[in-house]
Amino acid sequence: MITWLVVFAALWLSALVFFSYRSKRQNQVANDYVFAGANLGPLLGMLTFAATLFSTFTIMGMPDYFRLHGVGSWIFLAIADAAMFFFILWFGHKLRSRGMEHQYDGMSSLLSRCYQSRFAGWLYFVFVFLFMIPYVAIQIRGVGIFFEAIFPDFLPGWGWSVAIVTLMLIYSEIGGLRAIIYSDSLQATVLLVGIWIVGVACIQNAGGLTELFTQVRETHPELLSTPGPQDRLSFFYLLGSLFAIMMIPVTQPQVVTRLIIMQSTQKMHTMVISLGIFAFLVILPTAFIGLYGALNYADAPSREFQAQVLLFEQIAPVGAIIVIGLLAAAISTSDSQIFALGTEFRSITNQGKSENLKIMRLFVLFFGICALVFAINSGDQLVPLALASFKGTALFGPAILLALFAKRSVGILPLIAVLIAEIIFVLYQFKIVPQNIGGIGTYVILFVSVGLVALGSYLLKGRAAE
Amino acid sequence: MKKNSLIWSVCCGMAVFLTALAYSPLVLSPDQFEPVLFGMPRTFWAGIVIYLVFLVVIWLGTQVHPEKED
Repeated sequence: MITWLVVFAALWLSALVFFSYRSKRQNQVANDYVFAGANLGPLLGMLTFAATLFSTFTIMGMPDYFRLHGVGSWIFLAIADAAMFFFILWFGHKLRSRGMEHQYDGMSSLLSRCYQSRFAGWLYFVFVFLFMIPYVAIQIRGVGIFFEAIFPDFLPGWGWSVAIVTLMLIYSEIGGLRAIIYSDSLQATVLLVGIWIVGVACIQNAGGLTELFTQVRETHPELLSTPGPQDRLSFFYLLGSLFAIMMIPVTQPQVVTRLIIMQSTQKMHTMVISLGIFAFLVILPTAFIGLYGALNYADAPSREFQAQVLLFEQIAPVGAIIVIGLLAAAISTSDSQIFALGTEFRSITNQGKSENLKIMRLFVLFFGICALVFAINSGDQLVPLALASFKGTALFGPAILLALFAKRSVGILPLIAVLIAEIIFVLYQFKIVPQNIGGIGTYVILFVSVGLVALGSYLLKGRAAE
Repeated sequence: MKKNSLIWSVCCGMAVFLTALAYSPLVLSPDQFEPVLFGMPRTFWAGIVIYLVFLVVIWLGTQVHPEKED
């Protein structure tokens, strides 16, 4: 496999160099560097959106989730994604029109303008930073540890993490968002091809689709219904996850940026339907891989299951593609988020209209180093940590939607509600606040509460034009 | 135009309905596999069907969306 790995790695690195060089040449002004010229077509839009959304969390985390928690994982991710895609259709034009109205240079400054208070922008920036850095870090760490396990004599886990962050920073700093979008497109394509090759191999090894499910039913029947063997996928857990995932295009700056920079609303709509098809094709094989893992690696640690099914059971070129795909996935998700944090910093510090990108570049570097430090020192639970990150930022969703839809300033009460909810959520993550209150999931209560405050503010103040 | 607006409202209603259906006991029910389709338990195949219907609704929504143009 090493030969194949060297060949694919060389091809991939060459592609990254080419993308960086080409992007650098195309970037004429600051807006080109930060927003890739704000001229994204549906195909590139779909691929970069998909690559940002479907990361190592999908390739490594979702098969493991199906293996451990069963078919309810489909509802957890696929249905929540479908609802999210429709949600983009519902609010996307509003986001774009508000963005144009305020000459969008980042969500932080957009919120500051809509709420007529810089507190709004800073609050958003602080919590996005707090929740995104751990998410970026677990992507990097997940892949680093995985590579350490499969190539024990080459680099330690932290060495892989350093290599990933260095590579990511170099081409992001050189080519800006355009280089990131090009490399995202490559990663999304590799992801789709790789995951299907492994998925089909798993179905074949199990003796066919029907046989796969029949065997699971005989050996692990609890995987075939909710809440799964560990009672993880309860109704309130799934509902909380639905809210968190639906809010991704509202709250995650790297995703918001991709909606704003689409060529037109119509092209954004084409992108959304393509994304729906792409998501279906990516998530489906992870179910087959996971259930196959339940049959053959039921008691194995996650890393062993992932290494066996994704690599060692595959023929050498496929294993090599998966390795490069994982590396590319970790990088493409992380660079988008780190770059988005840099954009937000530029936006909140009122440099959005400036042609000087030095400070933004410096802070992209700083955020990258923060993620690296966290990666080296964090745990390796991919899905729960990713979800905690989404859930934390999602609490901002109702306040952002209010900013987009309100016809006049609504005051800072919704922001205060978000601040309180975020503090309680952090305490909830550290298990200081109980997981359920009165039989209802605490996160659902928090989300509904901030939603009601936002809705109340809209009805009382935000409906009428000034 | 009025017709498009009506169809868009129906799409919104369908999206809410499909989401509610996916999280209802009809799809999420402990220890219930039946009816089975190609060996797949109810939660899984019903989830797939709901996703595919969602795709149709999204596609229809893109065709009749009130703000198709910037």
